[in-house]
Amino acid sequence: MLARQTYADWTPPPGFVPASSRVTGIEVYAPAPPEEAQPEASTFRCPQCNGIVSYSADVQQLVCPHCGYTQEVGARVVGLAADRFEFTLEALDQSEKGWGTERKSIQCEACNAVFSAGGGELSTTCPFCGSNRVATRAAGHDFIRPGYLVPFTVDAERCRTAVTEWLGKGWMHPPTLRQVNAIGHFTGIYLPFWVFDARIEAQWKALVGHERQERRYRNGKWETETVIDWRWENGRVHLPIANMLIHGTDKTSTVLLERLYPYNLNQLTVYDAGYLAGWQAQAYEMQLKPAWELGKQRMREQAKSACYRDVSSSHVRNFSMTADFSDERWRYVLLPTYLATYEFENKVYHVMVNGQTAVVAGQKPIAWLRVWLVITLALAPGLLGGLIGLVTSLFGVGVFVLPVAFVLFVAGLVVAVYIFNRARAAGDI
Amino acid sequence: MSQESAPPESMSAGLSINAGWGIPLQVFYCAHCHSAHLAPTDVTLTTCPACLQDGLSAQPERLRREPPELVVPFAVSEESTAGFLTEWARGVRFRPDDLAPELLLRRIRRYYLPLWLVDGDVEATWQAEMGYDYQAASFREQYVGGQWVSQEVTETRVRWESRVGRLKRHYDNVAVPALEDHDRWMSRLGGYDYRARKEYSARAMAGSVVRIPDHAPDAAWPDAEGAFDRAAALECQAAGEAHHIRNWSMRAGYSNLNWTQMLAPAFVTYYREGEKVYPIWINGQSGHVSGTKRMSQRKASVTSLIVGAVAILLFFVGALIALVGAVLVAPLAIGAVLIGVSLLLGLIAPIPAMWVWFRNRSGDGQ
Repeated sequence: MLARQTYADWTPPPGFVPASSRVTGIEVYAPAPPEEAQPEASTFRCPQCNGIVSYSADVQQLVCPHCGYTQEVGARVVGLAADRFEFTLEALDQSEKGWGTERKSIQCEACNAVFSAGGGELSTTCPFCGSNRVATRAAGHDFIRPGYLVPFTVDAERCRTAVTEWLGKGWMHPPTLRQVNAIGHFTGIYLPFWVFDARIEAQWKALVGHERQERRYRNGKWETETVIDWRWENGRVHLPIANMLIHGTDKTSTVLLERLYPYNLNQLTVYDAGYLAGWQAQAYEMQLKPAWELGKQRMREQAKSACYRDVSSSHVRNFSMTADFSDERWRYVLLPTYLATYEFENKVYHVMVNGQTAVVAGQKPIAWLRVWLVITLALAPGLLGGLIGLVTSLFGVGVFVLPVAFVLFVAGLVVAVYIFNRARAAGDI
Repeated sequence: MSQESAPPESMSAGLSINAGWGIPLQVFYCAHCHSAHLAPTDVTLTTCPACLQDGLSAQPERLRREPPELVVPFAVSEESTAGFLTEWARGVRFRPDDLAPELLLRRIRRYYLPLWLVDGDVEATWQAEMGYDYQAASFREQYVGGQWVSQEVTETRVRWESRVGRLKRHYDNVAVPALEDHDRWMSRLGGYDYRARKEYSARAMAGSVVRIPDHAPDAAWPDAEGAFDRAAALECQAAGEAHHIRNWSMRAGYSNLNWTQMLAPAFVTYYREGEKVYPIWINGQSGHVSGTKRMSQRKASVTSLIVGAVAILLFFVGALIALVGAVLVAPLAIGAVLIGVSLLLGLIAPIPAMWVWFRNRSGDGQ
């Protein structure tokens, strides 16, 4: 009778809930699914003075600016142990949706950027274009909820110092830039990023040329010449790729964003709405699939480079390779970024700051007058030397000066082209 | 685990075998392999179908008198076994004369192997890991002629999840071995599809011999418990709509157990090689044949002797020609060649006999 009592008295272990059973007489219990994150509509009010609290990057706690009350957010730092997902539609469907706290999706009428803002911010300055003409729209429900984020550790003051220092750097920019005081407000925003991992087994095949020296008797004398022997070679490269970041917003400059890298993902923390209190957060606009396409393209180029490195010579022809991906995983995370704009000579420039490391990237005006002056200075010795050489050649001395002038001119030209390209690239950001 | 009602007493007295089975039957006992058999009284049984030794004796045997509940019918006729036997014996070198399909067919006997069928109620608690298939995408990139070509590969992967639960079910006709050497028989016969089973009728017994169980229900209970366990695992997997199951465990109580018999069909025949008898078994449902494929040592030895004799003959002829060749060069060469050939044949001659001896000794050719 013992077993029957066991059957009758049996209760499922803690954490198990009834699941459907297709056979009469058989009860099935499964682990309870993780609690669906219901929008909690938490407004983060101070329990002491009922003021609005916000997350402070300085003390890394929720802080009430009115009475000084502080509260730990209390989410776990999981770092690279954060969950990763396979590329299944099922996994996407099972991902929790929504933001877990009362936030508004705001759409900028000027640049159409969609970003999420705290409950109090019905309208705000668009962090992307600086426009104040914004309108709210209903929060979308078709977003995967971010599982992890890196909290802000750089406060606005440190951010301002870093940007001021950055503005003052570089001779190509107007000297008055360091006096710019137009950056009135840094918008701290959590930007969406896809993080991809994969292992690549690459196999390459190519005609590889190997140099060898050969002595030949030609025109009555011995000559040494380099001969290349071509032969088919192949190889295999194993390439693990971890934590490749692809940003999920198309409203920011990719060049600027990638200049903010690296983010230290060892500080990845379980998503908690408390970290977003008083900050903005943007939902992804680039869906998982196109983001993965982009990530995959970068990964395969890395694999190609690794294969080229594996080739034992710099002479390569008819290169072909296959890259087999395995263990492809993704995470969706929020990373802290400050966005700001400043005006200089009636033109708006964008600046971004890594909210974790205070690395600055942004647009700066180019002082083209300075650039051209430096280019002129670089070319001047050659041109001047040439002129002197031409004049002195009348007296037979120029034959020594002209070659020196030619060398100086070529060197100056190289420097000038380099400076021009750098200035143009800096201006094109 | 507990077994609430013990397996019934294996011998049921009072019921006549003939009345129960619907045909007059006689019990035979083999003193060599200690197996007991039931055969219709019109069947003359002198050789044990299990060990093929003579010396069967008719004697009373303690056995369950009720007839089997189910029978897996013969799907292969005696005549059609000839084809299976011919196919099986094909390729046997130095085949014994006795290993001829027509002779094997003449000695063939229909034979039923017993299994227990257990019915019972099971109440249990269980736990397992259930596997659910899902589709995931993986990728393969090819770089050829300066162009990348992408290929998406859909892979089926298994997600394992814990499940626990309880079960209250009745199971009918769970098949359990009724012979001590059941596994050996099944490896010989290749197993059965028990879904083809039918209710017992006396007609099934015509011309057949039935092996009497030597594995009593008491002894067979652990096997029955394992069979219930497997049946429950399959049902729980179906209940949980899982594609796979692993790490299954069950704590069960059993009640209302009822043991009956099922018969599985086979043919037994044999051939002789030398002094020994070699059995051949044929699955009566699938036609699967097994047995020892012996080669005839006598035939191999005769072959060796013939080759040896030819070698000796060639040697003498070669020697004779060589003697003549002491005078002439051409016959000397012919004589040398013949002597060389004879020596070669002399070396080859023992090989057939030795090869067959080693193969038979090592039991190869099964």
